Amino acid sequence: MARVVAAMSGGVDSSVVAALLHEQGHEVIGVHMKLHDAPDPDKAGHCCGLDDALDARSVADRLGIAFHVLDLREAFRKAVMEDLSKTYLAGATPNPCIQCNGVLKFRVLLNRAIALGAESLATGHYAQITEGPGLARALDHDKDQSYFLFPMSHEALSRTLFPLGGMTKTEVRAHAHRLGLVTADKAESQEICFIPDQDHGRFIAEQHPGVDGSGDIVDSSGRVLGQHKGYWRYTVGQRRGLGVAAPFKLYVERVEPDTKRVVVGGAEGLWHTGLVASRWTWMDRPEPGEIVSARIRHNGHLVAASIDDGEKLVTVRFEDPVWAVAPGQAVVLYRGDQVLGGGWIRRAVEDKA
Amino acid sequence: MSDVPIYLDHNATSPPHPAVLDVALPLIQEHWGNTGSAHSLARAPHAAVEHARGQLATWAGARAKDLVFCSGATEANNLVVLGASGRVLCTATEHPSVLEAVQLRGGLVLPVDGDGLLDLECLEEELSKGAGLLSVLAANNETGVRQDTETIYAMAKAAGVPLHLDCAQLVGRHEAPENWDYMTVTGHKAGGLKGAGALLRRQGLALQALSYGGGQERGYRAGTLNPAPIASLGVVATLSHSSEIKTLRDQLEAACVSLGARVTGAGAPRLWNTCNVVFEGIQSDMLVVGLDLEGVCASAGSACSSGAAKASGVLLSMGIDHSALRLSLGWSTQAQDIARAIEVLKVVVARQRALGSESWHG
Repeated sequence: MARVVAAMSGGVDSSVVAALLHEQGHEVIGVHMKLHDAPDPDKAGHCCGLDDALDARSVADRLGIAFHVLDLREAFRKAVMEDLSKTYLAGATPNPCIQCNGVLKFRVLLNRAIALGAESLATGHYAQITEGPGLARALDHDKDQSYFLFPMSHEALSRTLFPLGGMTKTEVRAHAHRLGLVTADKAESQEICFIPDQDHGRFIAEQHPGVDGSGDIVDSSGRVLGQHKGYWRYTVGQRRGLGVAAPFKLYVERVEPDTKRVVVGGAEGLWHTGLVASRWTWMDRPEPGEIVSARIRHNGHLVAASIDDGEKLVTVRFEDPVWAVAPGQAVVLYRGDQVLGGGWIRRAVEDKA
Repeated sequence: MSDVPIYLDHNATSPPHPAVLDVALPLIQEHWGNTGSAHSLARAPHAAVEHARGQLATWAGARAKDLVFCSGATEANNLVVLGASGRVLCTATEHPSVLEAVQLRGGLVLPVDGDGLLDLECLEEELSKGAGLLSVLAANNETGVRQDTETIYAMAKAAGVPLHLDCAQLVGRHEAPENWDYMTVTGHKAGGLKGAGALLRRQGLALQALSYGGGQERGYRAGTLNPAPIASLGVVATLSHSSEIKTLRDQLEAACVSLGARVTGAGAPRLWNTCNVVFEGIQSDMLVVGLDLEGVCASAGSACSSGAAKASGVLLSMGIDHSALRLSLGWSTQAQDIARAIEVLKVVVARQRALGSESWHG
């Protein structure tokens, strides 16, 4: 059977991936990516701590497979950590998980797997690789992670295995128990693994100590409603943490890095009929005008949409308005379960619903 | 890949030598008594420990009574550095068990040159300011570079500073250095068992215990003695210092150079078993993994508890900011092992070069 590198985070999903491939007779090489220096090994709730590496190693030892830790801290810092700061500083909302998948896992790690003589890289993502090769939603739509995987190249798809794409989480845990894996009952990992307290505002302030992002909170007419301590703490659609009293609920409408203003308003101001996105990855680009489904955030609803014939900048038009288009996030297009492509949101289309 | 891996990581640890097993196995299976007991079962293990003490003292040119057995070279290094009085000095390429202990004490780390040799001018200056201990790694575990311990000893003696030599990589491979004040040894790099080391000192020199309780080792190291690895350490000290391995190391090193590698510490005297090379453009942790998958055990330097390769402080202090591959041979290494390892290296290096440099921009 083939040599396969299994990315082992130390969680239950990737543990089961390694175990199932081993059971099928593949020569499985367990690899744990060291992505950053965990602030405190005892606070291992995040994906890259020492405890997670040791859990992954325990699973590999139990299976009797090779296991190695690869130090990818430099690549991770450049592609994910610095991208997070840069994007927030530009007034947008980054998606570090997509960056990590697109660059770290399915470019750097995949290259390394090939350099180690492996035919493919296997991960614990819930998504399916189809003929073509193409990318499709997981059988279990509730667990589907295809939104996070759109930057995968054709070559990456052809050398990747997602063994869990046709399973439910319950089935995965059942496999973990059947195989006696120590990670069987581990909790799900957190959102931003390198910011354990999830306070990205603090992280950016620490990374850029000389930068003062404080400014005014204003309404759409420019009236000052209050002050904030850093515009990068705000995301389009955010309601909490504004500290402004108003007779109706206020949401962040826009973040302006040049003026450091955070523009707020009522929910009605956040409905958009379209968006413009760049840096597209296409698996199967739809014709202009064809009605497909679009998703503008993970776990967001699929909405009917169509695209124009733009090259670098592509405009996505929604059949019905969507709420809170956040620059920096991704838009991913689907036909049924099939991923057609995805791009990074630059801005909402200005004409409001 | 063959079933039994080719083992080229002797500087980490080595397979037990047959002569070691002959002595050690009976101490595990039959003569398992406590050396401190008052009954007949203490006799054989006690005799084995004292025999080893004599063997080691003979190798080192010391008195048997000036030798303290402990759990390994790390503990011996900690014992001498943490127990020293006054300012402590060490070289930048020390093993972490000295380096971190010196830093813990607020001691001074002395620079080395591009070949890893101690900067003697700097040493002279610091010795003139006075110190309670100078600790020097006689042969480096990563690069194999050997310091000029005779010159260093003469300088230290002139300044009245006691010299500690960490000889963990020398036992079973080389003659002991002639002049020293304290010496660390272990046997498991050259055929001995893990779990024993010793600190030797010249008659009359001070030593401060770090562990208390049982009064073993004349009160300098409390804890039940571990006869099997201690006896193995004695045996290793008597092994003949054959340098046939050097020919194999030189073949391996020449093959690395022909594949584009640069030899670390090439301008310095080195252990005859160690090959430390830098393949520019290839990360050493990837080489280690690639070699492992093809059945060759190598090392990229010291490893942290999760198994990730750390940047080598030893190489950084030599001005080398690339990661290195360490191949270390030993008593069990055969000519056909090296021939096979060279073939595997060619494949692994070519495969990894083919991928080129990694790009993660945009």
